[in-house]
Amino acid sequence: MSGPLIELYPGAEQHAFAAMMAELIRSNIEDRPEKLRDFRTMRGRVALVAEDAGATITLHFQAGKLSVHPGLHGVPDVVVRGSSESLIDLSRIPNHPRLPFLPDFRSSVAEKLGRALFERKLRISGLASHLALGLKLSRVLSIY
Amino acid sequence: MALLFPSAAWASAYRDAINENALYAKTAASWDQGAIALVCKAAPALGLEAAQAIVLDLQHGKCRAVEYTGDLAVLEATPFIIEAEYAQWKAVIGGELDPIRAMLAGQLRLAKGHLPTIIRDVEGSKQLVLSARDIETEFLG
Repeated sequence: MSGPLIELYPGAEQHAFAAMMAELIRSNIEDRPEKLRDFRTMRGRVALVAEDAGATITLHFQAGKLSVHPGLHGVPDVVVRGSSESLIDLSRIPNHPRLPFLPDFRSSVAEKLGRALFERKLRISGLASHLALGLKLSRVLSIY
Repeated sequence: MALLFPSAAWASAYRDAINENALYAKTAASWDQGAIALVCKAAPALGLEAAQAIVLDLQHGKCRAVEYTGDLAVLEATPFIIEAEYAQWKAVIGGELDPIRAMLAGQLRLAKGHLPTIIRDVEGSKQLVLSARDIETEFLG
């Protein structure tokens, strides 16, 4: 079975946030190869905006290939905006103990993110119309 | 008395500050991944002619030992290295820069180590860095 194809778009190598997210997803899939199944079926663009760091990246999933672009690239299907800490916390939500394809919304990290959403410190747009992409994103981003 | 950053005396005070940080003890209680080195790059304009490392031997929320060294060969055996320019360490220690934000902005860089492990322990890593704010620090320049 071949590994994930994850490429940093030219210019992204010097972009810390882009390099970090590419490394995170690559490591997650290496550590837990079952995530490849999600990775290979993901199509769409996800923009991540770390507002306090002034850093934006676009993850362009193309069914087994991921291109990580600095800044906004194309029209994103899902946009996640928040603090650096909230964006990192997205990768710290454990899987649900009985329904592992879902995040554990009762975990302390999920509760912290819930508060950030309520207080509008974290904002996610496009999720309702791209729910499958959002759920798969949560699984490939998750360190668990 | 203010201690100069970086120096052996500052590194020893840092070990003590980590061990006195109850939040670090709590958030890093499960840490068993070994040492973390904080590397300050050379800043000749400030008189720091070569990069210096503070290697922290960490285990279950405690700092068992610290080594301050300019011999970066020591880092070959260190599983995690976080490096930054002098100005960025100064801003983090001085409370002007959040360490997580600094990581995403490229101001602090995980130069070596398994990123998901650091993220899993991000609260502990943050407290580790924040412990430095309890030291009365004198900066170069």
